[in-house]
Formats: sequence, C-alpha cells, structure tokens
Amino acid sequence: MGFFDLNIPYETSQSSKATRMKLVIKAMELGYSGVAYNRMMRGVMSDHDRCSIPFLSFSSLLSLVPSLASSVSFHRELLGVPRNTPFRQYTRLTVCVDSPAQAQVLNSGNPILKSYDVVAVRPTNQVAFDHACEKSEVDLIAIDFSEKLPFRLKMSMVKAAVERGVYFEIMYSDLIAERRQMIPNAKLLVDWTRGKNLIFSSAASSVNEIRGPYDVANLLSMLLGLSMERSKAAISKNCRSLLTNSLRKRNFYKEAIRVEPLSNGQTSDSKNPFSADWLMWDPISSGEGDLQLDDVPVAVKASKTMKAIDFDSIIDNTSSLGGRFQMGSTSLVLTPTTVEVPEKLDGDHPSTCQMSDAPSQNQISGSENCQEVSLPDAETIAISSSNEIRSPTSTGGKEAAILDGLGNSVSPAKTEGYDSPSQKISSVSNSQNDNTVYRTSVMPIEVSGSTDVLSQIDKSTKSQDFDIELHAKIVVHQDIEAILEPQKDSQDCTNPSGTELIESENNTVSVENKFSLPLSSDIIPRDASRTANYSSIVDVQMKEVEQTEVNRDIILLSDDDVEDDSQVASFLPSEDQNSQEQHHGKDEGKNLTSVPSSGRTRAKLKKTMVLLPFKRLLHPIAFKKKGRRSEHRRMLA
Amino acid sequence: MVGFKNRYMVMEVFLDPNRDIKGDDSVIITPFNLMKAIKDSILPNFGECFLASSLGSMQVKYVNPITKICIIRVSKENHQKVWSAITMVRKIGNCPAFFNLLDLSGSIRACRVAALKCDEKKFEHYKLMAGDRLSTDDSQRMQNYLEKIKLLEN
Repeated sequence: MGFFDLNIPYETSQSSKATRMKLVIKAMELGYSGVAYNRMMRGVMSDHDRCSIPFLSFSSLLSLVPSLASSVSFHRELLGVPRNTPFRQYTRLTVCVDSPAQAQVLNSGNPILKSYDVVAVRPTNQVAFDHACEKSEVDLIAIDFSEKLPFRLKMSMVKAAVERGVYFEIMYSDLIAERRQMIPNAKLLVDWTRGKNLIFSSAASSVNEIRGPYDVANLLSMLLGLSMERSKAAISKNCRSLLTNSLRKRNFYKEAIRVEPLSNGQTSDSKNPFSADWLMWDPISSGEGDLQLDDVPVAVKASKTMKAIDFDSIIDNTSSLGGRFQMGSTSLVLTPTTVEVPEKLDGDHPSTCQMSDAPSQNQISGSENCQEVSLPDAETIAISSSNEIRSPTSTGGKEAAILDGLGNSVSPAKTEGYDSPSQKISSVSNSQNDNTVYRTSVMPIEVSGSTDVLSQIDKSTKSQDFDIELHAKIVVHQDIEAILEPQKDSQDCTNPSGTELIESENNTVSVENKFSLPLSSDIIPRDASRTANYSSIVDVQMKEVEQTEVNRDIILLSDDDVEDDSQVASFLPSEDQNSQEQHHGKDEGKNLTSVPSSGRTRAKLKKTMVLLPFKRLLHPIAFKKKGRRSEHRRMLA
Repeated sequence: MVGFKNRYMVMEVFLDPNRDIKGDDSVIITPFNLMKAIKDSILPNFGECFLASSLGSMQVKYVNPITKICIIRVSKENHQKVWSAITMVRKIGNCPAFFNLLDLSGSIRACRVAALKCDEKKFEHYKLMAGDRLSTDDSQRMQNYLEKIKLLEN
C-alpha cells in the first residue's frame, strides 16, 4: 500500500534545506514511501510563485547516511511495503486565503497551481472556508487546528467538500506538541467526515516531530476516536487516492488521456513495443521525484515532461473543423487512465464477474492478469496496427512488433468474444514474453478463433501456400474493428468509408484507411451507458491524430456537446449491453465472405468509423467482437 | 474465566534525531530512564488515574542499548493509550528522542521471535553504520543481549 507524508515544510533558506534532507531521510527510514514538499503562500500570487522546489537525489541522501538502504528495507519489511517501491517526492502549495479575492485565484485555469502536484488551501475565516469547501479548485483543505479556529466548521460545508472529492488534512505535529486546542475541532471534523476524505500528515518542523506510520495511526485513532482501520487508511490509502486524483487533473487531458512527447528514435524501436511502458505504468508516479532504492533506472516516464504540454492549445487545434494535426518530429502516445484499476476490480466492481456469467467464466477468472493488462493492450492494438500501416513494405523488420501487438491484443479479445478453451488463452498470453514464440503461437489463436473469419480464410486458401503472417495481420485488423464496433451504432449518418487490405503474393500488406468523421452535433447519446463513449469522443480524436499519419483528412469533433462527466465514464456497463455485444461477437464471423483466388489474396474490409470506446478502458473487460452485417464485410478475392 | 492478557510492544528508540548521524549517543538507554520517560508522558496526557491503572502491568522487559530496541509489556486494555503516550514522548532524560513501534504481539513467545529478528537486523545495520569502529567487544555484548531475549518469560 505505501504510507505517505504529504506535508514536509519547504523554505528556501539553506538551513531549512538541511532540515528537509534530515526529515526526508527519517521519513524514508520510518517506512514512508512518499512525501510532498509543502510551500506556504500568503498574499497575492504572482508568477514568481511557480513551482521551483528541487527534488532531492538519492545519492545526496546516501552521502549523508550511507546505510540508509538497509534501514529502509528493514522498516518496509515490517510495514509490509514492497521493498522495491520507489520513494516518491511531490510538490505541494498551500495557499492561505483570508479574502474572497484571494479565493478567486484558486480556479482550474491558474497555471501556477498547475505547476504543483498538490494544491491545498488554508482558510482563515468563515467566508474563505465556505468557498474552499464549495467552489475552490483544490485537492486539500488544510485547517490549522493548533490555534483557535477563526471560523466554525459546518457540517453542510464539510459534506459538500467530501462530495466534491476534496480532502481534509490533520497535522499531527501539533498534536504532539500542543493538543488541548486541537482535539475538539479535529474530532468534530473526523466525526463529520467519518474518516473519509481525511489525511494525516506531519508538518514536522524538526526531525523530532515525525513519527512512524503505525504510531501516527494509533495516536490519532486514540485521540480523535477514529477506528484503527480508518486512520490507517488516512495515512496510506486516502493519500494515494488524493495523489492519483490530483496528478490526473494536472497531467491528463480531460483527466483521462496522458499525452507526452516521444522521440522519433523510440517509435522505431521494434524490440520494445509501446505496451511495455504501459504495463509498468504507475498512476502516482512523481516522475523524476521517484527514488529507487537500488538505483535502478526509473522505468516510468517522467511526468514533469508532460506538464510542458499546453492542453489548451491542443484543444484549440483539434476543435477547429478540419484542423489537421501534423506529426513532425514528435508523435503522440496516448495512455489510458488505469488509475486504481486493481482496487476497482476488487471492491466496487463486482460486475466484472457478472459479465462473465456466459460460458466463458473460467476464462476470465483464469486470466486475471490478462484483464488488468487489457487496458494498455487495447491501446496497443491501435498503435501497433498503425505502425504496421505506416510501413507496409518493411514487414521483415517490424514483424516482431506487429506480432507482439497481435499477441497482446488477441488475448483479451478472445477472452469473451469466442468460446475458446482457456488453455489457448494462456498460450497466447505466454507469447507476450518472448518474441520468438510469436510465430508458433499464432496458430492456437487461429484455432481458438475458429468460429469465424479465420476458419473461412483457411478454407478459402487451403490450396495455397498461405503464410501465417497473413493470418496475423487479418487478426490485427479484426481486432481493431472489434474495438471500434461499438461506436458504429451511432454512426448511421457517416459516410461509408473503407479500409482495404490487400495481400499480394509476397505477403506485403498495403492498407489504405479512409476515415471521415461526422460532426459531433450529429451524435446524440442513446442511453446512459453509452454516454461514456461519447465523453471520450474527444479523447478519441487524439487517437485519430495517430491515424492521420496514415494519410487521411480527419474532421475532428468539437467537444462542446459532449458530456464531460467522469462519473459517467466510470459507469458500470449494463448487462444487457454485454449480452448484446456478445451476440454481435458471434455474428461477426458470418459477415465475411471469402473468395479464393489463385496465388493472390485480397482482403477487403469496410468500416465506417474508427472510434474507441472509452468506457472499456476504464473497465478492463476484454473486447468483444460486434459486427453489423451491412457495414462489415470482408472479401477475399 | 478469561486470563489476564498482556500486549508486548517491540519498539526502537531514535535518540537525538537532529544530531549528525555519526556521533556517539548522549544518553545510554536503560529500563529505568525509558520507564520514567513513558510515565512522564502518560501523566500529563492521560492523568494520574490512568497512570495508576496502567502501572500494574506496565514493565520494560528488555533494553538493548546497542541496537536501541526495547520490549514493553502493557495490559491489553490499556495498550492503545499507553502506545499513544509513548508516541508522544519527546525526550528521554534531557535528550530528544522518539519511539517507533516495530512489532505488537500478544504473547511473549511471538514477541521473542519478532524481537530476535528485529534485533539481528538492527545489529546488521549498526555494523554498517559503525564500520571499522566496531569492536569484538560489541559483538560479544550483542550475543549476550540476544541470549537475554531468548530467556524472556512473561
């Protein structure tokens, strides 16, 4: 789980730097896995207040205490924190607000606030407190309990703040020093929040005031009448979700899609597919603030670089009609928000099990990692396929990447879409590990998917010398469609466009994609569960941007009409929809007609729309095929 | 009839955390000064009555001044309060210090196992810290302390 101390005071003076280093060392030693450097701000905010907090490097800490690593791992073992968890550093700004004008500064458009990882507010009067609870764009309300409260805590306000997802902070260093003032008010807050949306932090001005995580949890549960479970959560789980929320707000486009620049050299690296990054992706990574105990190079991309991207300008570009996104030296990589997926799987979403009431139940439960993994995979398909499209003739060099995309993508799709036996799936997912296995593992995929296309293709090409690669590529395209299918329902007004897949004798594939997207005003969400898809339409544009590389003009959607509600996005998929989708999945194979020809094979598939359902990214169910007879036809001529 | 129950807390003491790391300790911890520090913390925080009721079973069972690990026995009913009082300790004698809980167990047997493990690990750490200043005498004393843990009873 990991324990966090989100309040290490930061001042610019030299002596405070030494104190800060000692505090961080002690926090590491005590088993914390993350701290936030807190900068207090009073008065008017200016550009000068932009985040300039330097992170400490592990080597500088190590030079002070050479035996730090052994002590850290000893305490982590006792606390049950994995030893290799990186120690994270965040930046935090606490704004003291005493007038309504100052409260206005705390809005979502303020670029200074965006330069910090966490933004907290310290209200000093009633108006400021009410505003902080109800309106301010902050992550945290830090109430100074050490002196007499200058305002009255009101239950309605606290409730409003909890509903908005704003957290309250209780600083325990005051509690160790001066507690008579603090306990009654803090207890009131604890009672009203009932331990939800509450975090404990140290705000320690010297090393002597910091305490171990369990000690803190016990002390506050004892003094404030909180259950031990809740108070442990207040120092670990709540901090974590606070961080995921705030980092997502800052670093993600529409809190859903991460955009980061990628150098050209990386894109052409076929040995490491994009998925590798996403599988290791860490929702609370502090970027370069992460300290690995073993000095292992940080695998996770620095989130600081993402801040360099100005989302507003991207939005402006994309929302103008016909705006074209030119891919120059940088291409965009999109990462789905996998925030708290495992937790959701465990707790809030028993529906993943409900979905599997079909005969494929054991497959789903059997391949649990496959489920978790399926989010990045879903993305992989699109991108790896676009790779393929981009360089149609150089199949030799890129096969590994393509097939890897295949191996990744097929496994989730099979999980629900087909009635394939589970051992097949395991063989497929095994194939993700080793490039050399791919060739062989394509065969089980075909067999398992034998209900539809592939079997037909096999029949039609029995007499020919048919390379496995062909299967592979077709499967890739099928999967793209499988993902894109759900969007098709809404696309009745779309101009039909086609994707041609031409297979020539030497098995090089040339693909032409022609998409045209309708204006978003034509799209009207049909029902609630669909809304999630539409709220992601804009996000999908980003994906389209990838596809622009292929060659086509894209009329991009404007997001004005789209409902932007993350609650809806996390809406549980209703069961009837699932069954419907499953139904479609079975249908799909029959849509395809195959005509054998001598030596030359041509696969043609038509599709109207390339959109990705966002809802599926939040809910790691495998994709199912879902086809429509009229729109989805493949010819082998 | 349910027997009287105790809790055994294995704690480590951080002495003078502000000072530079490689100095000698200004205070040598003993059962007596630890007990005094804890009592001094309980009295202002929870009052005389609680102090009196907890004193019955409270005892510092074991102290290792090399690794700064101690075992404190408290009755089950009072252990949370005593624990939070210990958390609020800021000084031992005149030296700033604080406690950190390593293990909480319900029987002396479980406590012995945990304490042995912690003590050995902390001694490894101590050896790393001390480097070449480590004398054979220290290892011998350490062996004696480990033997002491094994002989702990109730």
